[in-house]
Amino acid sequence: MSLRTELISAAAIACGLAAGCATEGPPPSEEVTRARTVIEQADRAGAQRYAAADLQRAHDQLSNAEKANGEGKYDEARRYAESAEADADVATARASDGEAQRAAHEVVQGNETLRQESARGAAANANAQ
Amino acid sequence: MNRVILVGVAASLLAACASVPQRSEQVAQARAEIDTLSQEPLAQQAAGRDLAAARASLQQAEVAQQHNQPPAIVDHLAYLAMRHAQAGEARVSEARARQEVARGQEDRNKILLDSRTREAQNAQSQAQSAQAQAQNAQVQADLAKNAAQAAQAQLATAQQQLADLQAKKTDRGMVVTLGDVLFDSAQATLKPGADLVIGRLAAFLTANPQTKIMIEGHTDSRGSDEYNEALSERRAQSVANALSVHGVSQDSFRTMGRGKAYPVASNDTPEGRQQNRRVEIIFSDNSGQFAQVPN
Repeated sequence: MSLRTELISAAAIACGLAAGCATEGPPPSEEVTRARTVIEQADRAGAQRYAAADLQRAHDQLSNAEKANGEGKYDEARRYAESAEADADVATARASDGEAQRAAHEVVQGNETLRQESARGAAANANAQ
Repeated sequence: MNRVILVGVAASLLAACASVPQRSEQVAQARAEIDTLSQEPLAQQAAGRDLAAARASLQQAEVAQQHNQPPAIVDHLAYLAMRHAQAGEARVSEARARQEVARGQEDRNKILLDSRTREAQNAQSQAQSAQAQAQNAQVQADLAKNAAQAAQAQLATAQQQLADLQAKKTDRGMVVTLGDVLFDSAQATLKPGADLVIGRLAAFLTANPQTKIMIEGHTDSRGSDEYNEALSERRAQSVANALSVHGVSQDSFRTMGRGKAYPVASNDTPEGRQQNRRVEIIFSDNSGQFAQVPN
């Protein structure tokens, strides 16, 4: 191995360690696709209702990723896409949580109503006797 | 020798393109979120993958920080770590809510069961109460029926007793006539043969204490009015005395001498005069009232 080729490989290693410093990776098409998928998932989970801010942020980050992609800033686009996916995942989780909280609240409320009705029924019966 | 040079070149290149390392607020925030999540009892169960992903991203951020990578990269990795942790926290919260739903459904079943049990008990006690009322009503009906039968029997007995006394129904009510064969002629003493009639009369009055009697003595037309009235009075009194001896209350009867004023047959013949010499027992109704007859 000549000194020249060794120097080149050393530069490559250094730049690999300092990702984004010297060279751009490939276009983050997989990351963008994943982000879109997870955003759709969040939509279906009711994120608009329970986690609108997170969902909006995911959409914004996805737009940023597409914009950066168009400008050839692939590493930046990748980070945006990864953020969009993470945001959409938070939106999904918070939407499911919101649904579950609502269900729990309904069950507790329903039981309270049931308890009161039951108590009233018992009182009515006690009076009738 | 060459290796040393290579490392030096790589290090200088790294140092050249990296910024000065500094504390990242984003990394601290991610660490705090991960701490919060990992303290949740349900974290492993409900958000194991989120926690693992958060820790992996945080580690990458820390490595990038150690290698003096640009803040954009360090912060990005820390941001991902924070978001994984936040998603995990939401999943833990959701799991808690699901547990609450499950508990609530158990509660609901218990409430319904309790309610139905109580309703069944109420229905049963109502049925028992209705049954008891029905039995009570039956008992009352039986008692009333028995009382009615007793009253009926008493009435029948009274009627039989009156029939035995050969009572006749008249305008003045039921009347029993004791003929003068029960008395010696011109005497007021009852003959022993009167005992049967007096006994029946006493038994009737004892059994029907509401019934009063009027004991009236009558004579035929022979002799003076004074004599006949006195005789008729004494004969009525004899009957009253005999009833008293049989235990009949003084309140049950009155006596009266009617003399010869009320013949029931002609005084011109011995048979007619014999019919006129008599004691009449007039019965009140069963409330003690005598029939009003114009004299």
